[in-house]
This record gives sequence, structure tokens and C-alpha cells, in this order.
Amino acid sequence: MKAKKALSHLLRWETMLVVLLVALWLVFDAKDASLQAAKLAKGRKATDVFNFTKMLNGMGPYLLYSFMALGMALILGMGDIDISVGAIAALSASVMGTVYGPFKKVMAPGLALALAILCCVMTGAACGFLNGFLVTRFRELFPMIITLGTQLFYRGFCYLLLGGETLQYKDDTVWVGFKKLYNGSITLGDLSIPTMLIWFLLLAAVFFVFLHLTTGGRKLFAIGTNRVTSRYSGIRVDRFELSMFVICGVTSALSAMFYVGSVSATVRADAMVGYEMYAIAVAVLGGFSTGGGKGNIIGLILSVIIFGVMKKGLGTVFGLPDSTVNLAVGAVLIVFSLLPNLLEDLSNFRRLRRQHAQAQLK
Amino acid sequence: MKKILAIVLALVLSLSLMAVAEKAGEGLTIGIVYKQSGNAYFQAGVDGFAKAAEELGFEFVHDGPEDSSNDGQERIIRNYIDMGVDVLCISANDAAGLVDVCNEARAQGIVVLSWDAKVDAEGRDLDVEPAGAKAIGVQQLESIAESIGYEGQLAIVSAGATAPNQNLWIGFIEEELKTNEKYSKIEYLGVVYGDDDYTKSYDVTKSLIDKYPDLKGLIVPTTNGGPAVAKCIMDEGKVGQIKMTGLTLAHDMAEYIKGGVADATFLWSPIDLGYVTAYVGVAMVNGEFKAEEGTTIDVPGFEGLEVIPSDDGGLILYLNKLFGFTAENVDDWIDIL
Repeated sequence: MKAKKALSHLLRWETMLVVLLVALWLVFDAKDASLQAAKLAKGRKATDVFNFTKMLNGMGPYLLYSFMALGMALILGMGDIDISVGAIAALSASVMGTVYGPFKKVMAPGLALALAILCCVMTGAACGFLNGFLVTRFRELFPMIITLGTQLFYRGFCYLLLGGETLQYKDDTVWVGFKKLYNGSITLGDLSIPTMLIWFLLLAAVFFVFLHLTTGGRKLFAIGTNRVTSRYSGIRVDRFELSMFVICGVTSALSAMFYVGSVSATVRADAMVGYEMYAIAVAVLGGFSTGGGKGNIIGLILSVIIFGVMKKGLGTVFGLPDSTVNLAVGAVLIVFSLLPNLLEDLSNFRRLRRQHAQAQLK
Repeated sequence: MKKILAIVLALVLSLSLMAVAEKAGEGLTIGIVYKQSGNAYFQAGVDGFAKAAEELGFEFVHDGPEDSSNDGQERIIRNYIDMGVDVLCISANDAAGLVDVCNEARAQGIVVLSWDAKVDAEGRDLDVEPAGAKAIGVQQLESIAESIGYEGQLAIVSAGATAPNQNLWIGFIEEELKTNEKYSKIEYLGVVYGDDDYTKSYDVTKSLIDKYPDLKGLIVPTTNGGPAVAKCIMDEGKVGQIKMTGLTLAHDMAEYIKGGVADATFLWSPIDLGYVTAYVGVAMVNGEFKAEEGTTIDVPGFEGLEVIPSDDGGLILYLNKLFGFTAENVDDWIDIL
């Protein structure tokens, strides 16, 4: 019964996300059409600003935080939070860049890059481990506070490694070639699909299987629903939670890898500031509440797309400044996240009134 | 009847076409990308673009990321490419980081200019910057020489002894003093170093004044030294006898300029920079001007600007005209520079 209810909830949530996506798309498309008409009327050349091709081709910058959002989904599902993922990514990128330079002097550049990427992922895992260790060992502290601390720590470490310098490998053929391999685009006629999108969907599929089709996923949501009962039911809560934090760290490192590949192969200590907030926002809109115990990867994928479409559309068709776009996105996030609660309140209110009326009839 | 209508329509159309053709930038859109939103310096830059837009008739959009990030700028540039802008004018947070996206824009026929802070040579068509080292040095010298009537003792209060920019400018000042006949009556005392520190700059100025009672002019080619030197001149009661000039911010120097310590101090004006960049962009789209070594362009108020090779192997265009803060205009600039 409960499972059925949960399922219907999920379906409802994903349907709502699809409705939101379609609505946004229609609004942007209509606005775009009216802009074009206005330009043509004035005898100007009109550009089709918002369409499927442009949206797909330009999805890249809005996918950078999608990997860490997957990791964040695990953390939120357990009722924890990790606000250090942006700093973890920056540190992983810094390590990757710092290590590559000396390595390629002593070995084949391809091997050096492979090692650098390995170091990048290991850094993410190590940071995640530290987070998980602190969170599970010091239960009296909120994960928010712990990861706030580690966020500052990791960010500081980036500056220790790089200072104010920008590492760049744009002239390095191996680095650039490899970057194109994992972070280029696949051309299909007019479309040039960012490879990042395909990687994200593949990884999301893995996460879907884990979260919704294995015992691991059930454990995770059990912990998120009630940690104490989970422990008494035989789940090794601390160990499980720790390993989820490690996975979250690794996904942050993956985001870092794509970030390094996306912006002309440069690494800076102040990279990806604020990405943790994007990751949390994407996961929450996708249906993972901070209370834990629920969420669906399908919703998260939809949410990644919605964020991309919304930011792109507001930025181009409506011409809003980049900083103002975030304001609009934030507003949609709050309203939309509150919607189920409001609906529930409404139905509760109706039921009470009905019961009241029935009682009076008797 | 139909024929007459057709003729009238054709006339109206051709007239309107002629009206459109009057302004060089009509129908063009310029996308301006700067380092950071809400920054007064870049808002002044946009004012310069707006001034050019009034004269040339182009439209423009402008934006910068709130966090001064490279990926934020990349996002904005991609949006502008989608919106079909004809020119991108970029002040880059990271010269190397924007090369790829800029080249995507150029592949679609968009003219890519950098202004104020360059995009690396391989990602841009042209870099537009305020002034070359020689112009910066010579303009300060000319200003102080005018203030002191082209004769008397002159010294320089610089930043650190190894500061590369300052040393470059001072090199040009010294060369000009030696070679230009009109400065022959100026007795050059040399350089002292205030290390960009307020107290030290104040102290070295004081010992200069004590040592040379006839000192008439001071050049301070560093924004951090300017206010300290001016304060010292005022405290020593030498206003009127000793004049100074230099590179300074307006809000640092407003009270001293109005108090008569300096007739004029200098800095580049972001308004001029935006204005010229816009003219260059429009001329390049229209094919009236090509960014090649040795080509020149005339912009109202800035005639004969020449494209020269830059240090990074690309092309650069200098305005070579610093903006002077004087007692009349300095108050307008306090909030900007």
C-alpha cells in the first residue's frame, strides 16, 4: 500500500516536471516568435534565438553541475547535505592540473594525463571520505556545518596549490585531444550533441539502477526515512553513509574533469564557486527533499534539462542578465518545491471539512 | 491605380532604405561582455558604447557574471552567439579561458574584439586598449611641464624599484626629457620609490621637499602613491609652489585637485574605451576597416588610431589618450574611478 502510494507520488512529481518543461518551452518559443516578427516588421534580419538545435548544442555549460547533482541525490536521499561539492571539484581540478605538468616531463603525455585524471578522481574520493568520516563520527554536528568547514578548507587548499595563477594547457595537443574525446560533441546533421550529455545520461542510468532496483538504494532511502530504525534493522548505517559521501566526492571530481575540459583547458583556484548550490537546487527540484527518504533519478534528469532550458531561455529570449536569471530560477524552485505541500494542505483541509460536515449530519 | 500604389510603395521603401543607410551601425547588434556585473568601471564603459550607439544607430546588449568567473562569461557569450549579435566586445576574466568560445563565434562570422582586458591573440580579431607605455609616460610629462611653465626642478615618486609598468613609463619620460628640446630647461632630479605604501610615499616626498627647496614638479605614476604625495605637499604648505601630476583615481585625488595641488591627474577613461571599441566593431562588420598591421581608423575625437602588433603575437589598437581629471570634472568621476 505504502509502496503504491510512493509510486503514485513519484509519477505525479515527474509528470509535473514534464508539464513545467513543456510550459517553459512554449513560453520561450512564443516570445522568440514575437521577437522575430517584431524585427521583421522593422525590416531587420531576424534570428531564431530559441529552438531545439540551439538548446541542445548549447547545453554544455548547464551540464557541468549535473554530475555532482547525482552525487548530491544520494546524500539528500539519506537526509544529509554536502555543501562542499563545489570546492571538492575545484580542488580535484587543481590537483589534476598541478600533477599533469611535472608528470608529462618524465613519461609519455598520454600516460601522464591518465595519471592526472586518476589523481583528480582520487582527490574527489579523499575529500568525500573526509566529509563522510566527520559526518558519521560527529553526529552532534549538522552535516551542513561540517561540510561548510570542509568547503572552506578545500577551497583554501586550492589557493595553496595554485595561488592566483591560471594553469593552462591549451597548447598541449594530448590534453586538448583527450578533452575532445570525452568532452567534445557528436555531429548529427544540424545537431552537435555535447558528449557530456551522453556521459551524464549513462551515469544517471547507473544511479537509477542503484537507487531504484537494488537493495543499496532501498537501504539509502531507509536511512533517509529513519536512521535509528535502519540501524536496528541491521543496516551498517555509518559505513554505508561514509561510502555514499565518497561516491558524492567522486561525482564532484567528474564535474571537475568536464569543467577543466570545457573552458579552454584552464584551471583556476576560484573555479566553480557556487556550484554546490546548483547541484542542490537541481536535486531538490528533481524530487529529492532535504528531509531524506525520497527522490527519483528520472526527476533529476528532467530537472537538469529544466534548469538548462530556463537559464538559456531567460538569458537569450528575455535578455535577462546572468545574475538576474538566478533570481528567476530560485523563485521557480521555491514555488515548485512548495507545490506538493500546498496541494497536500488543500486536500487535508477538504477532508477535514468533509468529515466535519458528515459529523454534523449525524 | 495599382501601378501608382506600387510606385508610391517603392518610393517609400527606397526612402526608408536610404534613411536606414544614413547611420553606419543601423541594424547591427553588439554584445558587450565584461568582467563583473554591478561594477561602476564597466558601467562607465557601457556608457561609452551607448554614446557610440546614439551616433551610429546600432543596438547593444551587455552583461557580466556576478562572480567574475570564466564560465559565467562563457555562458553569456554563448547566449549572445545564439541571439545573433554581429560584434562581441569582451573584457576577459581569463585571457586563455575564452579562446575556444570566441573562435566558435568567429567561425559564425562574428567580429570578436577584446577591450580593457584581452582575450588571447588566437581567440580575437583585435584588442582595444587605453594607451601604450610611451603615451602614458609622455602625457604625464607634458602635463606637469605645462603646469610649471617648462622650467625648474622635476622629480618622480614611483612605486617599487622593480615595478615593471612604472619603470617602462619612466624610461619613456626620461628619454623624452633628454631628446625633446622643449623640456631642455627642466632640471630632472631622478626617481624616488614609495613602494606603493602611503606612509613611505609620504616620507620620501617630505625628504625630497626638504632636500630641494626649489622643487617645482612631481610625477607620481602610481595610483597608490598619488594621494600620499598630494597630502604631503599640502601639509608642507607648498601648494602653488610645487605641482604634481600622475596616474590616480578620481576619488583619491578630488580634494587635492580642487585644492590646487595638481592641475590635472590622469587615468584612462572607460567611457572613451567603450566608445572607440564600438566604432571599431561597426567599421569592421561593414568592411570599412580591417584589423591588419598598419591599418588606421578615425573615430570622432580619436583620429588616426593605428593597429600595431602586440606583445602576445596578436593585434592591438591603443587610444593613446589618457583622460585628465581637473577641478572642473573630477566630481563627476568620483563614483566611477
